[in-house]
Amino acid sequence: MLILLAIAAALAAEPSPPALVDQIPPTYPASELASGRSSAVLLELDVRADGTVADARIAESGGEAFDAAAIQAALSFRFTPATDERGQAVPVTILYRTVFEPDLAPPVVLQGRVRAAGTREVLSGYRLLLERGERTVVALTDGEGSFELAGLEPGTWTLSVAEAGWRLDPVTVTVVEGQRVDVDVRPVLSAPWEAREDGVSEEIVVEGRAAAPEVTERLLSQEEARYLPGTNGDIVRVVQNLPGVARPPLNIGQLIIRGTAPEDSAYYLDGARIPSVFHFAGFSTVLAGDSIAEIAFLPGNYGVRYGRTLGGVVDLRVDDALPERNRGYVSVDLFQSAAFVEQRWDDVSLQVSGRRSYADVFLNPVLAGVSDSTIRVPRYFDLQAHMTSRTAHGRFDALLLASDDRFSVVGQDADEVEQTTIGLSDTFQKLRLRSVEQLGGGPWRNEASLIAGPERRNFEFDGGVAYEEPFTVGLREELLRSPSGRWGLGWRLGVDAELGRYRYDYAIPLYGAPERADTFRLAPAAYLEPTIDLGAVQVVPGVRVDGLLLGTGYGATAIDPRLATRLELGATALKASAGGYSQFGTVRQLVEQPDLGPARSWQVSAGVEQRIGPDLSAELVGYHAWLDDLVSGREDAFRFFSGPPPIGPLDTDPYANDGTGRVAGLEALVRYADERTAAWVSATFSRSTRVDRPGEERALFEYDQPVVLTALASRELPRRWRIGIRARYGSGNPYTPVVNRTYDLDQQAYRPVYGELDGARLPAFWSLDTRVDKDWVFRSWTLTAYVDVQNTTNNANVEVMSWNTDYSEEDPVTSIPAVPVFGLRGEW
Amino acid sequence: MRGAALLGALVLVGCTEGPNPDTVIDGLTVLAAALEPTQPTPGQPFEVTATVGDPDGGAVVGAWTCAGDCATTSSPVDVDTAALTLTSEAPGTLWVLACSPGVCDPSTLDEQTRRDPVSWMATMPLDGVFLASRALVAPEGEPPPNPVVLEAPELPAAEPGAPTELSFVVPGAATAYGFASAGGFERASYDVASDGSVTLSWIPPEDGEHGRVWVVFRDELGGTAVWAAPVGG
Repeated sequence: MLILLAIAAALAAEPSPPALVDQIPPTYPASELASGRSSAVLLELDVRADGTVADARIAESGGEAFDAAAIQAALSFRFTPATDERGQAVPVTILYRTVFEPDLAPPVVLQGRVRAAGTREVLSGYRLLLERGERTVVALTDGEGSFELAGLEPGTWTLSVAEAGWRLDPVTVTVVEGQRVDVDVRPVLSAPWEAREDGVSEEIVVEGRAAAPEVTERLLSQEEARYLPGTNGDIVRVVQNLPGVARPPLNIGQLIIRGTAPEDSAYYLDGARIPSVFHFAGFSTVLAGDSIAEIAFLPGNYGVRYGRTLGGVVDLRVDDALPERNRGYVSVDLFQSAAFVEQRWDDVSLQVSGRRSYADVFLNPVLAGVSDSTIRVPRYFDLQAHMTSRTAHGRFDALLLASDDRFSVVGQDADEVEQTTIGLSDTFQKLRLRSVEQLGGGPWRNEASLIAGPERRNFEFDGGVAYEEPFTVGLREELLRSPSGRWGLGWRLGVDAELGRYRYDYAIPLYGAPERADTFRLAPAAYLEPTIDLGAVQVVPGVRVDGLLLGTGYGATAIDPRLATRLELGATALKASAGGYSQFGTVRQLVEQPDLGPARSWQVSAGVEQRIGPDLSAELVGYHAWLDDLVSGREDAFRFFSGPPPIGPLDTDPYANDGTGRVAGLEALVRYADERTAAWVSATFSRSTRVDRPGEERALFEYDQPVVLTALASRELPRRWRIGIRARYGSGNPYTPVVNRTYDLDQQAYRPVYGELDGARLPAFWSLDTRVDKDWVFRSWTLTAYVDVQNTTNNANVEVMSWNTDYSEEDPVTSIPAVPVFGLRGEW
Repeated sequence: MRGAALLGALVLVGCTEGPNPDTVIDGLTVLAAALEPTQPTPGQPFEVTATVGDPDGGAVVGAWTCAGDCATTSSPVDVDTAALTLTSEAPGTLWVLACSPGVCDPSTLDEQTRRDPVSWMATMPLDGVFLASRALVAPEGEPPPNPVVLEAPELPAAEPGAPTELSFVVPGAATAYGFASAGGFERASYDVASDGSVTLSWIPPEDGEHGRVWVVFRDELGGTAVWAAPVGG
């Protein structure tokens, strides 16, 4: 009975609040000493069941500095546990008032600054622990990463970090009464995924921007793309892993997008067209990765901002935000070295970067001794200088970009004098100026840009030289207004123009009669795109008008209407789009055949995006394109500058808008991204066909790849390790088989006799790529070492079909063997 | 540069050792077709002398001309000596067809086949039939005569597989092409010096092999001379 009574008494116990049993007095803020004022801060404290404080929030502010000091002090409080009706300790939230009186303030005995080791990033709101015996005190940094503590007992204290994901070798601090100790704390971010407060990793792929919906716009951020395997850390090459992109032969830097030719797709730098984004053979992007904030990949059905192309668009968006800290890096790997420096002065920053390949430096002397016909290993370099400044209502930036690629095969003549057998070079220099202003601080935004500079593509062969030398000025002026008002109406209206001089001279005797031209070229365009945002539904109609004028008297226009819609239904988004796209002929085509009109493409696509929980999302897009008025003919050696010569019978008849084509496909993307893992699976199923001349049978497009699958994953591991793996499968390209040969007695050479057009297909491609990164974080810099192994399984994939010299046997060109690329990067 | 990358990769194909495979004749091959005169004017009769590598023997050789876009063709000349006389319809193409017994017969080609022999070849096997062509170009002025082989070596008894030099003097020739049905040559072509001298490196066959060696000399305008010698027995 007594036991029962005792239990009943316990059950009937009154709940008790926590009582403060241990504290150090709050530190009177040094910044308030001059004012000498008193203050009080009301805090809301979450007290754990063991009496320690889990969190502290401001209920009534006493001023910014007092608030921070009050929170810092409160985090060190110890209470008696609060109990419930049954007498059990429970967590509770209480209000607590801290009073600051300058006369009563104990002197500061410990102060310091906290910055991340390696990056020197200022860590604000960061918690440190000071321990001495049973006593634990919390120090909290302010916006400058500084902290101050008063009231510590004299003696030896041990300093450590209280933030998840961070590591700090214990620091011993000796507090002496009447003295102030200063410490500089550099914790190491050892598990970044634990430190991410929002629990979401950096976005790698983002779909469908709400502001200006593209049916399919895939954004890649530089930060995560750097670690993906098989790309040597090159962000633009990551685009090759996305749905809609077929694999180019020999892994050169082409993008074959939605069943169109590489020359049908376009590269932009913040909306300004540039000739190329890849160095020779696609080893590397021409722009330093750290200069690029993100890449927008638009495989088709894009808005009116982009035009003059039938294929996809890759827009490199340069990082024009002012940096929070000065930084830089130097990187070295098997093929190239690069350096990057960024410095900020108030509202202005300057980035300078450069890169050079150097395999030629080591290999060419070796190759020179091998034979009398010596391949010179390709070499490339690029340089960039980028200035960004903040203005009253926006920003202005200037970018200077230079790229230079060269490759040659050198032989010796009868007198043993070196002669260039084959020489290739591709150079360009561009200056881009851009201004982004919120007009009068109002709702309209103005974006204006100019890009100008020379280009030269040079080809030496058989004692002759062929070159193209455009000098182009690109202008864009665009006004934007985000959707607002009753009808949610937004606007995009702009003009863009490319003008300049275009010169080419093809004079290689082996390829026939010389061709040359030197003409003025002007390609103006205007576009208008209202956005109707009705909440869940967005409708974006638009129209783009393009023109082309040449100094030869050629003139043509094209009008392309477009429509995009998007319907948001919670975690599901439905999207659909249709539109016209036009592409004018090249200068060579139009000089030779002035009757050519623009090639046309009508594209439709529809898709669904589904978010499945916080980490997983999926997207499915179907598309169809009807191509018309494609330019056929003159598939001769001078096509060299616009794309690789086709393998198979060449159509050497005059140019004509005779070609038609159809492309249909389905793209799927499943993406997983959590705090430490990035992974996606992309699949493309497509069919692309062409009819080059009326009356011909429909044949597969030369880059038709019915199935392309990519799966990749990258994961952060403890101790700053990171691993990645990528698997790729792709159908082989079609090719026209050789079924017999004839012999040309004049050239003493065999000529192929082709079978059915695109009647054979290369074996499927498959490859496994792996990457491992390891960081060592030092006090002021970080060293990263990595190995990126392409084709880890050493699979001999057939890249291009070739034949022996008498065409009696196929002699396919296979992919390079497994090449581990080791690299080091020092970053500060 | 995109195309350049492709070419660059193709150039990176490795080298081979031993006889250049392009010089080894192991099947029916038309090696040369010498014209006399070297550049006949339209309507002018000319003589064709075809040099055929025929390791299996018994091949029949025919030739015909095809003017312009091949709207008209001449009747094929069917001879077993490979010495043909055609009426030139220059500019146009001279076609020379060699057929092994039972594979094809040049004398029976119909008009359509003679107009488009390349398409016909797509239906034929790789072995036992060989189609070669020469452009018939209207001469600018008096065409030069075919080069003449003034000095030629006796084919030496050489160590099997060891490169052996064969020196010639052929004034007017620009390039020499070596072929062999036994052994082979180190290179497919050799530049002829301005004095007509040229030395080719022949790699003799292994012991007991029989065959033939040919050297075809060409000038800049298609003039042709041929030297040939038996190898072994």
